[in-house]
Amino acid sequence: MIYEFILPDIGEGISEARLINWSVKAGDRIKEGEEVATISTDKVDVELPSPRSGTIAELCWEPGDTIKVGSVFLRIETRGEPAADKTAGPATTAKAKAKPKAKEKPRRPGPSATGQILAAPSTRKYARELGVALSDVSGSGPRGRILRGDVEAAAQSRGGAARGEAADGVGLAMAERMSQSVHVLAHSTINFEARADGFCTLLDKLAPKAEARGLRLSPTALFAKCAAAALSEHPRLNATIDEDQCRLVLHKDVNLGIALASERGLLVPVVRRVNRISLFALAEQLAAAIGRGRDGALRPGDMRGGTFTLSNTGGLERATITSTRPIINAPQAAILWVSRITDQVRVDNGAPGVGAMVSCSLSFDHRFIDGAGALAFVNDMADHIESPGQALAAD
Amino acid sequence: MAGKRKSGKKPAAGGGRAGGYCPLGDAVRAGIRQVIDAQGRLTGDLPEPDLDRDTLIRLYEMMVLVRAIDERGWVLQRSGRVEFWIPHKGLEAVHIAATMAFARNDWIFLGYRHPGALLLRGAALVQLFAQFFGRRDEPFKGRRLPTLMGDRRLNVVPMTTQVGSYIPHACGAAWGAKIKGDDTRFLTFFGDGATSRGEFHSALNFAGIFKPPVVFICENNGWAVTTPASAQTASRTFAQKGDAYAVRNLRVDGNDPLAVYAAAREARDLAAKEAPSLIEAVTYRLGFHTSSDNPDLYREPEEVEEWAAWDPLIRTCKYLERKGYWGKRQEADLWTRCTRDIDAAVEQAEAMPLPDPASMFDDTFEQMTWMLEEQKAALLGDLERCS
Ligand SMILES: Cc1ncc(C[n+]2csc(CCOP(=O)(O)OP(=O)(O)O)c2C)c(N)n1
Repeated sequence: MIYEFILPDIGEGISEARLINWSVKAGDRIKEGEEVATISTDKVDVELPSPRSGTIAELCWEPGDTIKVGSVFLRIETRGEPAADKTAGPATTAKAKAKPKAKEKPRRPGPSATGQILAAPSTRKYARELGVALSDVSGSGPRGRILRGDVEAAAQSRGGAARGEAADGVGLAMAERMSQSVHVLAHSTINFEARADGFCTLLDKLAPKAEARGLRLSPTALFAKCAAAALSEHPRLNATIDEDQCRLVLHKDVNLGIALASERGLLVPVVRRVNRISLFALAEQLAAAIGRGRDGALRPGDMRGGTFTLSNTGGLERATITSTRPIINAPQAAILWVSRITDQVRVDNGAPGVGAMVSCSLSFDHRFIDGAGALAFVNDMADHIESPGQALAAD
Repeated sequence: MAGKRKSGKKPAAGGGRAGGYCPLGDAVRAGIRQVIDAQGRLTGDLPEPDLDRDTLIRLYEMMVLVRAIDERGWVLQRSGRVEFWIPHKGLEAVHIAATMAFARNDWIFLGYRHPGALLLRGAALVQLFAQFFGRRDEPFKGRRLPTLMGDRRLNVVPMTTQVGSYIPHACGAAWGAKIKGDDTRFLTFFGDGATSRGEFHSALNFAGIFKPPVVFICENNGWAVTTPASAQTASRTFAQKGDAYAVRNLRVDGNDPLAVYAAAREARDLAAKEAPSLIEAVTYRLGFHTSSDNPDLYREPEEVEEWAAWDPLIRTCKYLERKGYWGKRQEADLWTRCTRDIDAAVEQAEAMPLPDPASMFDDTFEQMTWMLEEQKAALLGDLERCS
């Protein structure tokens, strides 16, 4: 039985060695451990011992030759060497078989050869955050390695989240949360309008009272109270998703995330127990959260624990926005966008007229909330906006 | 300073006569506690420990077996059968004598040059070789670098490869035992190089304050890869680093198993009495740092020769001969027996199955992370394509 002595990597990362001389010749009998040759690597001159006992069948190289690690170095006839026959066990045989194959192709094939994707863990994480599939990205690094910039470029060409600028913490968090939400949740959106005359009247009535307490009453605060009232009637929308258990977790209190555009990007501070606090208390907390958001003083805890998100872009709009497709702030299950209140031509009691209108868009996770449930919420939400007095009943 | 040391240079502090490399010939002057000299004579300042004939023979037989393992491991690595090798030639006395000085249920935190500790605890030779060959059915499932061994069933913790990182683990575990009120003691081995790591200092500081039942053995084998001990510290000794932390310390002749035994035994006793110890065992790495090393590039052959004259095996053998416990025939028989046992272990271990490549992802996180899942899928895909 012929045993092939494969040139080993004797020095951790050595790829080749030069044969200095043989200590044996074909036909010599040799014992395991006896020296067969001296080789030279970039680290050291090494005397190679024989891995097996037997008779030298073939010396495969000449002194001076440079030999690749993994090549057959010499052949030993091990017949009549009982120990050797047995020790050439299954694992060793497998190895000897595998090695020459490795010789036929480069030791570390590039990505094209194996389809293997080379990318650092941080790059992989980044791609995940931006929702970029690495298999779609061509790498510009050594041997096709995908670099961070490649991922950014891919995201941009896809029109994705990357803006060609280094994303900071807030930007990254947003990128990650948004792409995850879009990829996991079954977004469904209902766009609707509501008459806002009563809403504006109430705001105007309450504004001086608020001012007397040193508060500025914003439409957002009143929208928040309306939402809290509607959510109390439709608890499936005041919920978070437990992805592991694949279920909806309903919440008694309404902890409202308020989407806030800041210089540092989108922030969503949470105002707690909106269903239980007065409009003025809410206005106060809202103002504080907005202030902290603008100053960059929001702590992560201020943005955790939301059960529903309200996004009012009224302060940013000049164009007339009629609908959006808001992305749910996972693990929450729904989000409501409301527009600036504008005067619109509308039909009142069968006759054309002009009145205050607000556009709204509700996105909900259709895996857990069905269309009828979402519509029921929308109906009541619209009612509360049209006559917001009831939403303040608990005040 | 870290460069190649030329002969004729000023000998290291505490150096002996001759070439000035090995201080063991002048141990008293170097503050190195000793029982026997190079000829196995009772000339040292430490009394001969009270060990019976059988125990002494067991000690010596283990030293020879461990030397034979090193010789075989080296050949297996050089002939491509074992991936990597960390030699321990010349270092046998330290870990074998110290392990024998501790109780069977005491915990040992190993370095990577200490196979005797496991064997003394009853691990089979084939288990060690299965580890060297990276086979599936050894305690670490074939995943660790050859010689990074251990076995929790035997209270032997394997080395964490980051030099020095496990010294606080040993110290903290000892503290835990103290809090629980059990009588387990803890022993850990590390090298001279490890004393330059922060973990060494954290652990000693902790030990000085909380006095857990732990014994630190610094195996000063002269080199940390290419850095000589003289460039490792400006302190006169490694032992005296204990002074900074109020940890009892001493230097012993690490090539004298009787001295190591006596020092370790005493330290073990004191460990239970609120006195942890740092023992510097002065010894020498006769072999390469690892199979990837080439010491010809940084040390003089005379240095190795000088230390080889203090080979712990030769000294112990001579001591046993003087006592009338040992002779040429026993010596020859012992080597034959060791070779035969190792042959059998090699044959058996090499025939054992290799681990399934996919299993390398197991036992990492309780729930595999997405990144590991991706890697596993990629690996399985590659293997599929290659087959
Ligand atoms: C933190 C760390 N740095 C570097 C290494 C690489 N390394 C492996 S062994 C070694 C030398 C350790 O020397 P020493 O503690 O004296 O032990 P010895 O190898 O001499 O037994 C080094 C630097 C490592 N494993 N861990």
